[in-house]
Amino acid sequence: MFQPGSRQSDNGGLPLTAGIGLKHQHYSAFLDADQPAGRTQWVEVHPQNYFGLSNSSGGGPPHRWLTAVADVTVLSFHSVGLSMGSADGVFEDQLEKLATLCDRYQPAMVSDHLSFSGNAHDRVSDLLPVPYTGAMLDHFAEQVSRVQDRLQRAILIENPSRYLAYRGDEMDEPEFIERLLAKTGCGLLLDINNIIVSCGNLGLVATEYLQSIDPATVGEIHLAGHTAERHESGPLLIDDHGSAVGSECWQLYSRFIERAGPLPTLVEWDTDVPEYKILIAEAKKAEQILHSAAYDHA
Amino acid sequence: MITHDLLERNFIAAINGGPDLLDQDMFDGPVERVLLGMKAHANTINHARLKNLEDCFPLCRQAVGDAAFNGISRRYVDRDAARKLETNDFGIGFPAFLRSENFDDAICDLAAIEWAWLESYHAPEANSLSLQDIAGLDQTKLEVTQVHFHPSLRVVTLATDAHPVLIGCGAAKRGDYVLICRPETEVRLSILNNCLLAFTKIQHDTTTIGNLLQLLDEHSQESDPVALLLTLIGAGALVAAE
Repeated sequence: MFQPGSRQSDNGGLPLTAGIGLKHQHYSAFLDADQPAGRTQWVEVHPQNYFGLSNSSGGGPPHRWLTAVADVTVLSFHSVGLSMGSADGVFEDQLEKLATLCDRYQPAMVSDHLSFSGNAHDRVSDLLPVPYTGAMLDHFAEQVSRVQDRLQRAILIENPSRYLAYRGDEMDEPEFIERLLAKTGCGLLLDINNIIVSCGNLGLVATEYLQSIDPATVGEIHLAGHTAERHESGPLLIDDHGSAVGSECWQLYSRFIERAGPLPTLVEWDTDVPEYKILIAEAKKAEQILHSAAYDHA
Repeated sequence: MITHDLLERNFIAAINGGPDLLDQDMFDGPVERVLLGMKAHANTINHARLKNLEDCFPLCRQAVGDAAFNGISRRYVDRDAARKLETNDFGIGFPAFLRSENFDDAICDLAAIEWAWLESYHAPEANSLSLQDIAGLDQTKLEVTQVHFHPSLRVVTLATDAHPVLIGCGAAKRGDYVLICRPETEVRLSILNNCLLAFTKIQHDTTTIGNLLQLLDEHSQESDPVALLLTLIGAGALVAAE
C-alpha cells in the first residue's frame, strides 16, 4: 500500500490538515501571518515556477521567497510538466530540474498528472488526456517508475479533468488509476473538482466515481472551483481554478472524508487569484471538515 | 486503436490546426461535444502562450499597443520553432523574431532587454563587489584584486536610441550598451559606452582589476577607464573571485 513519503527516511508526509496553493501574490501575506490563525501548516507550489530559464536558473527572488516559506512551513511540489503520458516518455529536462529542486528544498510530497503535455515538436501548457488502454497503462507505469527512481521517493499522480474520452478506452479511469497504483507503488492525488468536471462532461456519475476510490491509496486531496460554459448540447465544465470551491465539491469532499478520515487537503485557486484572507478562509472551511472527521474516526 | 505516437500527433495537430485536422474517430461521443472539448484544450494552450509573451515583454506590449502586440504574438506562436520550447523559455526567440519581421529597432532592443532582464532575474546568486570592499586597498592591492562578472549580468547593444518606455535609459543612444544585472533582489539597468570589446574579452574569465582597467582604457576611446570601472561596480556587475 502507498504511504506518503514511503521512499524517504526523513521527510515524512504532509500534515493531515488543509493547505493552500501558494501564489507569488501571497508570499508576503503568508510569511507575515501568524500560525494557526492566518497561515496553513503546509503549502503547495508548482516547481516549474522555480526552474528559471534554460540560460539562467537557480536564483533570484523566487528562490529567496521559497526559501523563506520553506523555513516556516511544509512544502509540497505539484509538477505540471513531466508529461509522463507522452509517447517518447517523461520530459527528461523537466525531470532533471525537478530532481535538482527536490534536492534543494526536500518537499514532503511530489506529484504530477495522469496526462501528457506534448512531444518533441510541441510543448503545450495543458494537461491532455491519455487513453485508458492496457498499452498506455504499461507505458505510464514505466514512466512513473522512472520518475520515482530518479527522485528516490514515491510520488502522487492526480486524476485529470477531462473534456474528451477516447473511443478505444479499454477501462474506466478509476480502474486505470487503481492498476497504475498497484503496478508502481505511487499514490493518488485525488482532485475532487476534476472528478466533477470529467463526470459532468462525459456523462458519468461523480458519486459513483468517488465511491470506487480506495481511501488508503490517497496521499492528498485537491479542491477547486470550475466554470460552466453554456452550449446547446449541454454545459461544458472548464477546470479553470478561478473561483471558490463549489458546493458540489464540498459535499463530495465531506462524504469522502467521512469515509476516509483526515487527509492532506489543498485548496487551489490559480486564476483570478483572490485576496489571501479569502483563500485562507477556504482552507479553514476544509479544516473544519477534517476536524469533524478526525473526531468521528477517533 | 491507433498507435500511441499517432494518437499524440493527431491530437496536437488538431490543437494547432483546428477542427479540419481533427480525427473524430479517436474520440467517443457526439461530434459537437468532441469539438467543444478540443476547443477547450486549444483555448487553454493558446491563451497560455499569448499570456506568456505578455508577461515576458510588458514594455514591448506597452510600446506597440495591445492590438499590434497580439498580432505579432500570434504569428510567433504559430511557428514550429516556438512551439517546441518549454513554457519558461517560450519567449526566448521573440526578440530575434521581431527583427526578422522588420519591427522598429527600438522595439527589438526593448524585447532583447526584457528577455535579458528575465535571465538576470532568475540567475544564480553572488555577492557583488562594492566600493566599500575596495575602499581600503592601496593601488597595488587594488590592481591585483581578482574579479569576474556577476552571473546575472547581461549586456544588450542598442541598435538605435533607447525607446522612451525604457525608464532610466532615456539617454542611451545607438551603439551604447545596456547592462542588466541583479546584484541583490532588484534587477538594475545601467548604460555603458564604448567598451564592448573589454566585455567580450573577459566575459567568461576571471581577471584582475588592473587588467580590466587596461582593457577598458584600450577600448573605451575617450572615456575614463576608472569612471567605467566605477559604473561597473555601481551596476553590481563585478564579483570578487574566491
